[in-house]
Formats: sequence, structure tokens, C-alpha cells
Amino acid sequence: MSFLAGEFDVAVIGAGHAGIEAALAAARLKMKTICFSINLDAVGNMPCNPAIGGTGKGQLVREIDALGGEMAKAADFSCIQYRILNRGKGPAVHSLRAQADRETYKIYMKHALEMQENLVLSQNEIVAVNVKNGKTEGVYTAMGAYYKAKAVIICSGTFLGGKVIIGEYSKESGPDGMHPAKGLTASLKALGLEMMRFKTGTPVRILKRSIDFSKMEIQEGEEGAIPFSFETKTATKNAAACHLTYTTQKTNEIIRKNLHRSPLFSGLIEGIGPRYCPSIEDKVVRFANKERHQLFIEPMGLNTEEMYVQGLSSSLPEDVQAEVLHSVLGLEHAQVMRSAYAIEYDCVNPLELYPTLEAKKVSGLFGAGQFNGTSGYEEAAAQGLIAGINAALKIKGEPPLILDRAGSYIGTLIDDLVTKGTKEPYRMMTSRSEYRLILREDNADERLCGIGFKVGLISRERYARVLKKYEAVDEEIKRLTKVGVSESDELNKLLTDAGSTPITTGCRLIDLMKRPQLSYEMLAPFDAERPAQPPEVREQVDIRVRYEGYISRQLKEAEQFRSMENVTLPEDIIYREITSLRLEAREKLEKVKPRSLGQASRISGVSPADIAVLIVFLDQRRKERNKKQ
Amino acid sequence: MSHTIAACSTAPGTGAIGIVRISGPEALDAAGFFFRPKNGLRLQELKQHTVYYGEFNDGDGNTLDLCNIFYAKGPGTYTGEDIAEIYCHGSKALIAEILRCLFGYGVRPAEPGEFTKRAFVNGKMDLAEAEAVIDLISSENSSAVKNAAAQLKGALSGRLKDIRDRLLNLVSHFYAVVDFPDEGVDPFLLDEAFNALNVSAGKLEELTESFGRGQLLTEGIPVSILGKPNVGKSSLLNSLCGEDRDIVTPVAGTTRDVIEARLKMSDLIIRVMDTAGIRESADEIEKIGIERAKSALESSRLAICVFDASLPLDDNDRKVTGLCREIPAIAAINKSDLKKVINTDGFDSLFRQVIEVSAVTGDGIKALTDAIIRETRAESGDSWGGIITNVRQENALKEALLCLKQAESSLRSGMTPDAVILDIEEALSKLGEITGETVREEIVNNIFSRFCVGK
Repeated sequence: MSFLAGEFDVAVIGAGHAGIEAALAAARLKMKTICFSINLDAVGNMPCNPAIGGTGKGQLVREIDALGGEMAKAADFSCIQYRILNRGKGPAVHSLRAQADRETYKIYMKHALEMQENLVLSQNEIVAVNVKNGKTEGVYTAMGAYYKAKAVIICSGTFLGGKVIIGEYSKESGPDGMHPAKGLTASLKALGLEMMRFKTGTPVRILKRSIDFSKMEIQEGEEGAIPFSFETKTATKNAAACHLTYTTQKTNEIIRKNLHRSPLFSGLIEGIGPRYCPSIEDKVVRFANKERHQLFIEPMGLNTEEMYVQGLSSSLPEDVQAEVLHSVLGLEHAQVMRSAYAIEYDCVNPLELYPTLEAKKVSGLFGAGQFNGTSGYEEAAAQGLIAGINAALKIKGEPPLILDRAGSYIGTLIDDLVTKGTKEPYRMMTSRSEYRLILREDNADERLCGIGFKVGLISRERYARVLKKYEAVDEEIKRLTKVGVSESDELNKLLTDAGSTPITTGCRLIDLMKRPQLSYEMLAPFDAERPAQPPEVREQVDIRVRYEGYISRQLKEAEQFRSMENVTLPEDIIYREITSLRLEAREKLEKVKPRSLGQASRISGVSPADIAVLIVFLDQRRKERNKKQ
Repeated sequence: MSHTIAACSTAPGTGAIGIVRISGPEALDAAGFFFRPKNGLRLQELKQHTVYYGEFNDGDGNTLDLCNIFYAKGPGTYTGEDIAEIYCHGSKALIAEILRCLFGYGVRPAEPGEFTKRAFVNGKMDLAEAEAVIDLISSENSSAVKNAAAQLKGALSGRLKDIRDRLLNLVSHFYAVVDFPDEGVDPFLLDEAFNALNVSAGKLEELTESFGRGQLLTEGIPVSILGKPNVGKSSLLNSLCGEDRDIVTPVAGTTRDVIEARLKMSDLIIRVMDTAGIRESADEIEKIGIERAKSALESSRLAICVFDASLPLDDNDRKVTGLCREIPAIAAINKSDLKKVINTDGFDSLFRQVIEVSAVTGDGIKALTDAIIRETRAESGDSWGGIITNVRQENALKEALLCLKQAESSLRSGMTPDAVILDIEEALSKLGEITGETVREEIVNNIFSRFCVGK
């Protein structure tokens, strides 16, 4: 028997990284919100890597923070080691990564949800979405309760239709031994949504006491890293270290000998796994020439002896896993605590979604995270935030928030998903962005705090601080253009020591700063009038001056990009009838229904020639309309 | 969705034949409405790809012309649509009348380049190929035709692909390293980057140079006629021109004493420049003329040094030979009809060829023409295809090259690779513009605005 259990504006299904941001954003935008989780002990869980950030992902975390999301703060709160990746390769690809204490992270997030006004946390499995006349009305729990909701955001992660596979063994299960969500997929299929089946995996966890670290290389954290959140004032001390080790020839032999027992080869696994996150057996098969593979031993937290073995994802049977593990340098006697497993789950084809993350076929139904075909905590959180914001805006009757590729990684992520779709779990990478040098980690606040403020998730005070920061940056650069330096032995010594050429006459300090070997900091002794500035201001001054030429070029490209984005494609175009388009293009355009010519040009299967057809088509359509008038 | 369009496809003006081309879904119906085949059948009942004779009737019972017609059904046609072509007599008034009939039927006048635009839109050719069509249409000589035809077959796209692939490999290696710091990807080595940049830049340079060659093909190969005063340079030019005297045109500004003539020799276009006589002079105006002759020489691919057979060599002659050291030259010993006094010892080592001519009798002019063809062909290169011939392609290439140079110098000066990669990506996108792999609205429009009506 079904009964009405409550009435809400927004119902969020799932309390992982996507669900958390979606629920917090909706509630903070004054929506009466309920967030369901199959198990409240799984709120904010990290079923895989105990780390936040990394290349491309660090940028996402900073952007989430600049828009008023929670992930950056939780990561800073629970961080036990910071590392800055790709140092020396330039600010466009600098990415912060934090090893997190997994339990602390969960505690922080669950508490944040519990403390949030307008928000209710509820342990329940949702089995159906109620839709009438194409509009979302509410959700049913497995026990039969009905919750009315004007918008529903699905953040089901690997719970949805989850199936864990280890060698010949398989079991319907969510991550980390949680119950799977079983009924919901059928309900979504009945709504006409195209569902897909993806696969991911996680490596073995081992007991710290059983590891021989003497055979490994230690990786300490880096001091002085700027934390994820622009609001976190002091970085946590690095309290833990990671270790680097390698597989051996013996590892390769064991895997080759046992390949026939892998569920990937026996056909037990049907879901599509990510190419960029291969299992160890995948690596051995695909890179047969490689003698050894890198592995990192990462702590799961400060109050546990459990260690995560990055790089040793596997779906081989338990006995083979143990053999493989013991062939690794320093892990000869390692004690397994949790076996590696592959997990299959249901997700939606993201081409079913608008860039607002609302389903095209069902008004008020949103999706975020793995449900939309992505992989990774940061990707999930970014989408959750946008879905939560857009659900609230829709209910309020306000225009949606759509971020573009030229302005953020979040915009790039969502544009990729809803324009190109994905055939494997989608991961953010710096190479996905055309505008890397202007979409840096360090300027996410400049790019997005204004938007966060307008939406209502960033306070006036915080936005004012951001404006003040960038005013200080502008002012300091203006001052620098007027500072001259004269030739001196000290200066020329600095120049030659840095590998640059000495000067023979006086010049502007700013011109010296532009030399790649030099920096704002290095030239401080020759800049007597330099005012004291906080590190984040100094960082911006340095990057802006040094990369001025490249940055202004990218800004120009962004402008060009936006001009194509601004050519809107009317919704009433029937692509099926444009016979001059290639058949594949007609089908793809019909499915995606792009909002602009720019978006159309990024659809895979739509060639430049097809875009030219559209240009000509729009042109002729315009002309013929004009003639009629 | 598309209208049926029509236009006169032959050059404007009076000619023996005029061609009216009709393309679109109603091409056959429109043509069949006005054209009555001699065999009494309707056009629609006849086999396609065949030329039929008949009369073109204006629809009111008046015969406009007795002419031929051809039709073919899409997509196997130039535009990819149904096409009909009427081969009528080449009178301007007649063609206008035929078009008026068609427009009255509901056919729309074709815009400039619209036939080719439709071919492009219907996937009959890519952007580089479409551009080759413009070049083919505007080709004045068979060499340029050969080249345009080779581009049409995708020769240029093929050579660019090599360069693009190399750069793409470099860029993807960088990303692999950056995006997968824990995977133990081989490090991104600066040496490797330098190497790839150098090789790609070299290949791009080769291609840009080929633009010069391509331009020679379409605009003509510059050849200077040089000599001291009164050796008969101008009369030699006139002899080379033969019947085509009317194409001798003074270059703008009569004070400039370089006369240029465009000559068609075999399959090449030669721009012959007649220059002021070279001699030691105190006269200011003459000095200017001589300077101009020298600068004409600098831009030339070949020099024809003219000497007077009836006079001994003097200092002015030696000055002329001296000027020609830098470029390939032919010695033309003029006035061979007079008594030979000149001593040409040593000319064989100074000149590619030594030819005796007489501008008066015409003797040796054929030999001189052949020599010019031989030498200019050697200069302009004989490898057709893969040659850049239009300015848009050249600009894109040059910009791509600039990006690569910028990448190289940034890398050398110690700029971080994230920025350097942007340069390389920009180069890639510029190269993509040539083959149409990055299409921006203005590029497409720009290309098609270059077409003339009816092609």
C-alpha cells in the first residue's frame, strides 16, 4: 500500500558526491529538499581512491567552490596530504590533489547535510519516479511510501542495478558491500529514457603492517600548497605519506597464465569500462612490452591501517589477485583486507539530457554523476551542483544556469556529455579543454564567483572579497608597468644565474618579468616600492604578466567560440528532412537537438561539411523567410 | 528543401555556344517544359547522360533556338542534384531569353558559386577540393589546370595529413604525461618536441614555398629582357609576342620604363618584362630606369640577355652579363641577319643557352621560345599537386608556420610546455582550416564569395 509520506520541492536520489552537492544547492536556494540514500553510512563515501583532485579534477573542485559547492571545503577538512601535480609544466596544467581521510570526509559531509536548513536526509531505496503528462510529480520508496516532488535529481552512482564481479563470482550489489538499487531502472526505461550499462573497478585494500616499505620509494606531501577552497585559510599539515612501488616480471607471468579466468575474457562482464583507468590485467595485455607497472600505496585515513593500492584494479579471481599482489616489490607478504572488484551499473545515455542536466523527455527529472555516464567524485559533484541549481531555478521559474566551455571545466564536462555522449565512463582531463590557460585552478574564483553570487550560493561578502582581490591584481600590474630598473651587477648576476641574458641599459621591470626564467618573486629585491600582497594576489600578478600573450590569445579564441555559440538553431528545425545532410548527421542532430551552431559542430558524426550545410541552410531559410515577408 | 536554380555557365559575351545550367529537383521538368526533342518524345521519357537535339520553345509557341540538351539525375552529378544543360547559340540576348523563360517557370537565378556550393553541401567535394574548382575555373593555362586537378584529387590534403599527424602525436604525448601522472608514461622530452617542430616547420615551409610556385602557374613566370641600349630588346619582345600584340600592356604609370607582356608559351604563362637599356649614365632619369631594370631582374626567374651580333662586346655588355650572375639567363645574340662581329667566347659558361636570333627576320625566335620554356619549366618545378595556389590557403599555412616558430622559440626560451602546446594546437587548427577540418562560418562564406555566377 502506498501512502503520502511528504511533500517536497526537490527530491535527490543518492547521497554520494553528486547527491550531496545537488541536495545542498537546492536547499540553500530555499527549496524544500529531501535526499535519499540506501544507507546513511554511505553518505559521501569514497568507494575507490581516497583522494580528491588531480589533473583536470583539481580545476573542477576549485570551480565547485567558486560556485558555492561543498566538496573543496570537505577535501581541505579531511586532507592528510597535498600534492601539486605537473609542477614545471605550467599553470594551465597545475592540479592539486589531496589524499583524504575517508572517514573524516564522510563525517564532514553527512554533518553538512544534517545541519543544512530546508534539507532532510532519509535512508530509503527509491524504486520509481512518478511522472504525469511528461512532468515529474514524485518518487516511490521500496517500502511503498510516496514523496511528492516538483523536481527529482537522480544521483544513483554504481548502486543502480549494481553487480559486483570477482573472477567467476558475481553478486547483485552496490559499492563497498551496500545493497543495490533494483527497481528504478525499469521505471526510467518505462519513461522512454535510453539506459546504458557501464563498468568500473577498484583495487585491493591491504593491511599496512604487512607491507615492506623499505623496498619502496616514499612520496611526501608538499608544504605550502594553496588549499582547494578559496575560503580555507590555513592548509592542513601533511600527516601521511604515499609510497611508490612496481610490479615485476612475475606479475606479468601470473596474469598471462590466468587470463582465461578473467570475467572480461569469459564474457561475464557486459558493461563498458573506462580506457583511462585500466585494470592490471588490461595493462599487461595491452602493453605487453612493458616490463613493470607503477603502483602507489595510499593510506585510507589516519585512524586505520587499511591501505589502497593504486594501479592494481582487477576483476581476477581472489586467489589470482593474492598471487599478483605478492609478486609486487614490498608486497610479498601483504595481507588482503578487501579484494579488488569490478562493478557494473546502469546509467542513462547523457544525450537524453539538456545542458541543464534535465531529461529532454521528462520535465523536472534531472541526472548527475555516474548516472550520467561519468566517473570520478569531482565530475559527479560538479554535475550535482549544476543539477541542484537548475532544479531550483526551474521551480522558481528563472532561466537555467548553463556554463560554457570557454568559461569553465564544468561547462566543458557537461557540454561534452550532452553533445557527444560517451561510450565509456567519462573522466575530466586537461586535454578536454581548449581554453586551459584561462581556465586555471588559480582563477576559478575570478571566473565563477560572480555567477555563484548571482545564483545565490555565494555570499555578498565573499564575492566582494573576490572583486577586491582582482582589483589588487590589476592595480599591482598597473604599478609594475611604471617601475624601471637600471643595470647593476646584482641584477645581472640574478639574470645570468637564472639562465637569462644580462641587461646593458635600464628597462621596465615588467619586461624582465616576462622572461620565462624569471618571476615576480625573483625580482622583488629590485622593486623597492613593492607593496605587501597576499600570496594569491602575487600568484595572479605573476601568471598574468608571464603568460600575457598566450592569455590574450585564448581570450580572443573564447570570444570567437562564443560567436558560434550565439548562432542559435531554432528548435523547429526538422533535421530528418534536410536531405543534404549525411544520414548519420541527420540522426545525430535529431537526437541531440543542439542549441547552437557551435554545439552542433561538436557532435561526433556531424562533419565540418554538415556544419557548412547547416550554415547554408540557415542562410537560405533566413532568405526565404525574408522573401515571404 | 532546395530550390531549382539556373544560370548561364559560359563566359559573358558573344560566343559560338552558350550553356545554360539548371540544377535542382525541378531541373528536368523545367527544361522539359520548354525543350522539345526532335524525335517527338518528351525529355522526361529519354535516357539520361545523352545529348539530344531539338527546339527551345518559349512556352507561347515561339521557337527561340534549335539547340542541344543534356540531363542527368542526382546524386551522380556535379552538384549532386538533377542537372539539365542547354547548349544554345552563344547570343547574349538568346541566353537572357532562355533564362527568363526558366525563371518564369519558377526556377531561381543561381547566386555566385551556388552550383559548387551545392556540390560541397551535398558532400561531392571537401573544402580544399571546392577551392581547387575555383582555381581550375580561373586557370589560364594547362599547367595550372593540372595542378588544380591534382588538388581536386586530394593531393594537398594528403601532404597536410602527414604534418598534422606528427603534431597531433606530439600534443597527445604531452597530454598523456599531464593527465596520467601516475601511469608511468614516458616523459615528455623537449628534444622530441624540438624535433617534431622542426620537421613539421620544414615541411610547412616547403609547402609555403610551393605557393610561390603555384602563383607562378596562375599568374605567370616573370622573365626579364636585359641589354644595353639599342640591342633590339623591344623588337625582340614584339617578335616573341607574335600575333598577340594587343596583350603588350605598359605597366601602370608611363614614367616606369619596364614594359610587361603576358605570353602563353606551350602550357606556361610567361610574363616578359622589357627593361631600360643598361649603361653607365649620368642622366638622373636614366639612372632611375636602370634601377628599375635591376629590380625587375630581382623578381625574375629567368633573364634574357640581349646582345648585338654586329658589334663587339663592350663595357655595357659586360655590365649586363654581370647583372645576370644571380639568376639563370639565356643569351640572345640579336641581329643575326647582320654581319657577325661579336665574340661570344666564354658565353657557354655564363649562360644556360646561347641563341642567335633576328627580331627583323624572325630567325631563331622559335629556338628562343623553346629555350625560355625549357628553362622556366626547370625553375618552376614539375611536381604538380600538393601545391598551394590560393591566398587563403597560403595565409593559413603561414599562420600555422608562425605558430610552430612561436612554439619553438617559446620552448627554447624556457616557456612552460602548457603554453607551447597551445601554439601547436593553434597550428593544427590553422592546418585544419585548409582541409576544412575546422569550419568557421566566415571561412565557408569567404570561399564561396569567390565564385562567379554559373560555376
